[in-house]
Formats: sequence, C-alpha cells, structure tokens
Amino acid sequence: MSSCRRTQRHLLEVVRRTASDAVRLEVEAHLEDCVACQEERARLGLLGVIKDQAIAHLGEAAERRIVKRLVDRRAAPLPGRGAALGAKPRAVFFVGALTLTALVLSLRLGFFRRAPGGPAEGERIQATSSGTISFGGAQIAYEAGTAMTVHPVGRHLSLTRGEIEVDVTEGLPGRFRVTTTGFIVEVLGTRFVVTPTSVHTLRGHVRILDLREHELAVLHAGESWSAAADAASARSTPEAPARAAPSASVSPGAPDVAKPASPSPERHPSVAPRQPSVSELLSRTRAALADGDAEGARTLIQRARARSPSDADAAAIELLDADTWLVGGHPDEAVSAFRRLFRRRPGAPEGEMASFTIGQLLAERGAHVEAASALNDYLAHYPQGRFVREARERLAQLQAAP
Amino acid sequence: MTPPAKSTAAPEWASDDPTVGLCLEGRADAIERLFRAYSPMVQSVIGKLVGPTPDFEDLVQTTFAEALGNLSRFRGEAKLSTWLCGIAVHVAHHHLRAGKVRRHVPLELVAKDGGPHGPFVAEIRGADQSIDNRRLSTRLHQLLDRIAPKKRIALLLYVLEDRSVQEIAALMKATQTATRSRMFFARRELRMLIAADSELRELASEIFAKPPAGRA
Repeated sequence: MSSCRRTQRHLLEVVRRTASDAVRLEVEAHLEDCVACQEERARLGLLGVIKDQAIAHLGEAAERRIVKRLVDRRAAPLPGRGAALGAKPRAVFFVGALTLTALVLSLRLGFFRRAPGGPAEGERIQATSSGTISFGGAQIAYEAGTAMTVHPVGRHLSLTRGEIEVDVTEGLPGRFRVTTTGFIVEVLGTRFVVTPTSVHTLRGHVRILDLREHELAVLHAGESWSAAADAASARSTPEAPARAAPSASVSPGAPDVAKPASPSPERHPSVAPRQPSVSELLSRTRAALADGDAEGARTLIQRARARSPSDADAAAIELLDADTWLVGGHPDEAVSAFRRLFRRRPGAPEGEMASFTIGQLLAERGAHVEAASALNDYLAHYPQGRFVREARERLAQLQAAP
Repeated sequence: MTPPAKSTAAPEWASDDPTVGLCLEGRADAIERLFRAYSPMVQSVIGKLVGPTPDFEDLVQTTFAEALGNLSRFRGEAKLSTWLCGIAVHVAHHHLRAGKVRRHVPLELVAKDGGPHGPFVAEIRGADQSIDNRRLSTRLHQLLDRIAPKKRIALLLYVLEDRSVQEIAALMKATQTATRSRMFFARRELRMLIAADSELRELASEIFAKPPAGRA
C-alpha cells in the first residue's frame, strides 16, 4: 500500500482527473484504509464540484453591450475599470517622466551644487559632532570626528577620517561615489556605511573598486568588506601579488585621496559566490515543504538561522519549522512547535496562525477538550483575528460532539 | 482513466490573421469576431478564478479592453488564446487583490450547460438535495476569498483549468518553484478552512464518505 505522503501528493491529480489509471487505483486502494487521507480527499474533492459545475456565462444582451463598448472605446477611451487599470501605469509613467525631467534640469541648472543649507563644491567638512548633509540625491549622516570633502557636481565624496552612513536615492543620473584613501565605493541607489577601511551595505548593493578602478568586491545588503581583511587574504595567496593595506594618513596640503600603498593592477581578487539571502532560503524551504521534503526543509531552515535573520524572518522560520514536523508526519511535535511559536511571538501574524493551527490540529486528532481549550485561547488573544469565525464554528462543533 | 474535463476550448487564430489587423484598425466587425471567438474561454477563466460575482461582466469587458489596447504589442510568440488568458488572469488577480469581491449574482448571469456533468455533480444531487451546486460554489469561493489571490489563482488554474505548473508560472510571471509553493500553501489553507466550515465539511463527508471505488 502506498504511503500517506505519496497519496497526498497525487490527490490533486485525482481530483482534477489527470492521474493515470495506475496512480488512481493506488490512491483508491490507500483510501480504503486511511481515514485521514479520506478526509483530505473529501475536502479537496469539493474543488472537483466547482470544476464540473456548469459555468456561468454572460447572456446575449450582456455580450452585445460589451461589444458595443469595446467598439466605442476605439473612438474614445472608455471610462471604467478597463480605463482605470490601464490608466494607472500610464499615470505612474507620466509622473515618473516629469520627476526625472525636473531632476535632470535641477542637476543641469546646478540646484544640487549648493542647495539651501547644502555644501558647496569642494567644501571640506571636519565634523566636531554628528550630523547630516544632503547633496546629489544622497543623504549622508556622519559621526563626530569625520573629515571629508564633498563634490556635489560630480556626486562624489572623499572620506579621510571617521564614519559616514550614506543613503542614495535611486534613479538619478550618474553614479554616486565615496572615495577613501584605499578604495572607492560606487553605487546606484542603496544605503551603506563607510569608514576609511571598511564598508557595510544596509540596502541594495555597492561595488568596491581600488583606486585604479579595478573591482574588488560587490557587496549585497547585510554584507561587509574590510580593506584589512582583503589585504590579509591577498597576502595569504602566494600567487597573487601582495597588496598593502591602504594608508589612511594624509599629508597636509595633499589631495584628500592619498595614493594607495600600491594596489597591483593585475590583481582582481575573486569575490566569493554570493550566499543566498534569508528570504531566498525561506522561499526554497517552502518549495521543499511543497514537495513533501521535510528533511530538506529542515536543512534549509538551519542555514537560514545561521544567517542572523531579522525578527520578521525569524518568525517565518519558526512557522516553517513547525510545518516541517507536520509535513514529516509528526503531528505531536508540530503541535509543540506551534505552541512554542505562539508563546514566543503572540503579537506576530505567525503567532496568531500558530495559535489557531494548534486548535485545528488537536481537533483533527480527536483531542476535543484540548482543542476547545486552544481555540478559546485563540479567541481570547485575538478577538479580531483572521480566523475568529472558523474558530467559533469549530468550537460549536466540538461542543456538539458527544 | 477518466478523460480530464477540459476548459472551454478556444479557437486558435494565427498571429497574422487579418482579423487581428482589422481589430487594430478599430473595425467593429473584427472586434466582434474576436470577442465571439474568445469570449467563452475568457469567461471560463474569470468565472473559475473569481467565482460568482456581479462584477463578472465588468471583468470580461476589462479583459478585452486591455487586450485590444495592447494588441499592437502581440508579437505572436504565444498563442492568441494564451496571451488573452494571461490578461484574464491579470484582471482576475487585480480584482481579487482589491479585496472587495461581491458575491450576490444577478439573474442575468445564466448557467450554461456547457459540458457533461461529471460524477461529482450526480453524486451531490443524490447525496444532498438541499444544497444546490451554485450555493456550494459560492460558499467555496467565499472560503477561497480568504486565501491570498496569488495562491488561490495558482491552485485554481491547476485544478479547474488543467494548466500545468509550467503554464501557470508563465501566466503568472512567476518561477515554477514559487508556483508549486503557492499551490501547496493554498491547498493547505483551503483544507483548514473547509475543515472549520461545518456545512462544507459535512457535505464533503457525505459525498466522499466511501472511497470512490468503481468511479470511472
């Protein structure tokens, strides 16, 4: 006899009647003895009812009305849904084009050269306290002790000391650059933190170049790069010419950007293959669960956990973790996992989902008293929740049950 | 093996069919021919994805209005029916995403006995005369309204429209992995929602109380 997992995998094929005879007979044989799969088949089978149902069609009068409107529309745009659906992208495009034109004109006319309160071209800033400046479509927050020279015309900033956090607006012409004594950070639109020896990307991605404009690394959101580590890795690679760590010292009167100690133009350090992000790993976990691969899903969850997920991602991970038990055929462990999630994150959507699922699972397993208690807990915690109606109905059924 | 219940078959016009060119010129007879040829397919797709709704006429009209407005971009890389189906899916998704699906159906929307009734319908009639199919369909679609539109559409295209995962992914402009994932979670959510709905659960139990032995 085939397993429940195999049967469940083929149930949709059976419901839509595309399963082969062999598969259908195998499923039916399994259904003879398995109550759980019978229930699943019964519920999904209702979709077959919709499929077989006579399709509602427009009457002749309605069809004539539509044809008339469509023909009229060729002469003049038809107001209504169709126009609204098409109008939105057009309006967005129009507004976008206007904004872009205004920005280009602003740049050409030099509005960004000296915005009111903004820095002048070539202005040198020696910060004694933290603050922010804006120019060239970028907002720069700097720490006390930061020294930099700004070039609004070329959307360029030279950092010699301290730390800055740069938030660059996307869509402006040209690239925004931050130059330090040892490397260049080049971005289109992103947010990142730069010190003279390191870069950390908060959003989007940035390209790190040496002063001869050879690419050193591409950093995606959440990734960091350090000149010292890069130099150390260069030293530890015998075949690669050694590259000294960038010097942060600037001689008085010298340009802001000191020449690098001697970055070798031949060396193009290979960038490690990009690790999948947490959201990518979660997406793959869902796909693994969809394929019934609980073990694979668990491995992916471990990888996601190792990548310091955000709070929201951590909640999603916990929910998927509970799902792996369910998919793996361990309902007791699944209930425990859902309980843990509910206890830890009662305020998150995943916590609410877990709370309701506990009641559902217990009810399906015949534990009526515990199920009622769990559903009452759900209603007490989430009186306006997404599953209130279902929880009340389920409770009523449990109370009516012998 | 029971032959799958095919969705409403659409005729296939070649991309260089003169009617397409005439539609672009705004010829009324060509537009009507296009509408008459593909309207059953579009109505079938929208009807199955959105369910009974008084906005049905509006949605069908929107689909054709969008199609006519973009016909000049149709390069014949896909079949015309596939291209129109993609627009219908987009329109249905747009409508469902707005979250204001009305569920009373005007009398003008008549049920057409377009295909042979399957064994399920026959069994329902035998099992419970008190619930008519349309009410059941409305009830099911009310539950489906609680599932995110992308997940719902992926599942319904697979089950009701007999589309392959590859086709659904192309229609929804998603990866096959994402499509499988959407179908999995839609199925799970629907199962839970039906389990919590006493009327539907009982109906499901009645219809499928026994394994469907002998069912062709």
